[in-house]
Amino acid sequence: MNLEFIELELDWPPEVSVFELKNYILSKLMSYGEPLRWAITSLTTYSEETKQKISIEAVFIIDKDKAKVFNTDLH
Amino acid sequence: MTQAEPLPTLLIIPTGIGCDVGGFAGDAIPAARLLASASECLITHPNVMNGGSLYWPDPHIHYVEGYSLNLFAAGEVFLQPVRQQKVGLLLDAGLESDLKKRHLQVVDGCVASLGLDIGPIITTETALSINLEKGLSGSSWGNIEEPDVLLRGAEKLKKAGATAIAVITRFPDDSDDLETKLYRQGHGVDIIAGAEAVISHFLVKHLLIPCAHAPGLAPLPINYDLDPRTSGEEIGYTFLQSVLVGLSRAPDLISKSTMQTKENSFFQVKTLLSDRNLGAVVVPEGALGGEAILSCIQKFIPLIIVSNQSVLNVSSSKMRLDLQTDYQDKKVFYAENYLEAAGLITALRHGINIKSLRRPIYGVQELN
Repeated sequence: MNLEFIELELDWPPEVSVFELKNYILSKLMSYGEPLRWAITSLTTYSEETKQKISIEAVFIIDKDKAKVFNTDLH
Repeated sequence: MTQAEPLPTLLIIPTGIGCDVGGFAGDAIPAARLLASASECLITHPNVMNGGSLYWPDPHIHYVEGYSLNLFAAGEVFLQPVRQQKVGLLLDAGLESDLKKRHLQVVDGCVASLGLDIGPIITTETALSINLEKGLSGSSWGNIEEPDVLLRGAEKLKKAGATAIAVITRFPDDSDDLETKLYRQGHGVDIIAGAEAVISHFLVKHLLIPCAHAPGLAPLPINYDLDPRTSGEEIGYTFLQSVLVGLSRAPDLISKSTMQTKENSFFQVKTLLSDRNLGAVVVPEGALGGEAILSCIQKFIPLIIVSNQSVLNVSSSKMRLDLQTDYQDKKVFYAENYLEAAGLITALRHGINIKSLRRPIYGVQELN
């Protein structure tokens, strides 16, 4: 296995409340690998004030034999 | 004051984000002691309690590594207080013989002078290579090049009877690095802290026993302009002693699936700490985006947000907490410092309405 440090951005849709945020983020992170350690490191609100971008820094466990194809919004 | 039950409280000061309090060498220990005194049951993590050569064992403080803290907050793991752990020692093959000997002498000292139970001890098959990283946010992170080597060593220790594991890896010496210079002067982030957290997270994830990390580093040249908050890391040859003391009384980690067997649930349930017992979580204002905090918010656990500047600005308003008026009004409290946070914990513990303590105070209103 490998560990990889990744920085990524996710949309935070207005219909997802803060109470649902952890599960929402985890569901998105799973497509990159197995999240080992992660945190939201910044939030950007757009002018219309209903849409936010979440910046996340994370270390993933990547199974070498089942290497994932990463999404394009990786930094 | 009437006798009140302890109020299990989670204190989180994330690793590697340069918190004004808790971003250095165990400089949040006084805050932890205060909150432990107020709550009589504080659950916190190595970044708070490890002061290099300095430590403070407190019967009201539970030393729980960050990955296990996340599982605990999520309700996936329960904490079982113990009298003593048998702490296995995993040494990186990359440690030079003198540096390795220094760490073994710390072990001898902790057994001879503190009465800890330490062993077995093994060295990894090959040297571990640690990469230090820094995110765009300024937080420190890191990576292990051969995690399988680390894991195999830790598995051997567990198989040989260790109930907790202290791991020492050789970190790159960086005394000339600008980050290190700034850190020693009390600015910036602890550049090695993020990698340490990754190592312990990795081991706990796979072994589900208490684990913590101490970096193996060559001694730094003396600095006449040292910030007092970093002094705990300058007064000895290793950072291991605080790790060993913390792990020696770290609670066992009991998974939810283990608890689901009849015999375990019957006799353990009264002695275990679970997320359902939590009466409050204390967190820096800009660091609300961690996994454990999000779990606590999800469960409506009272949140005490403390002004404690760091490189992050993930604040309550950015997290849309202000949109959740019911939670915000009843369960989110703000403190200027940890002294004030201790007052809030005392009020929660003793059932004193916090609104009664603030001014102005408003009259009651009848429901429409």
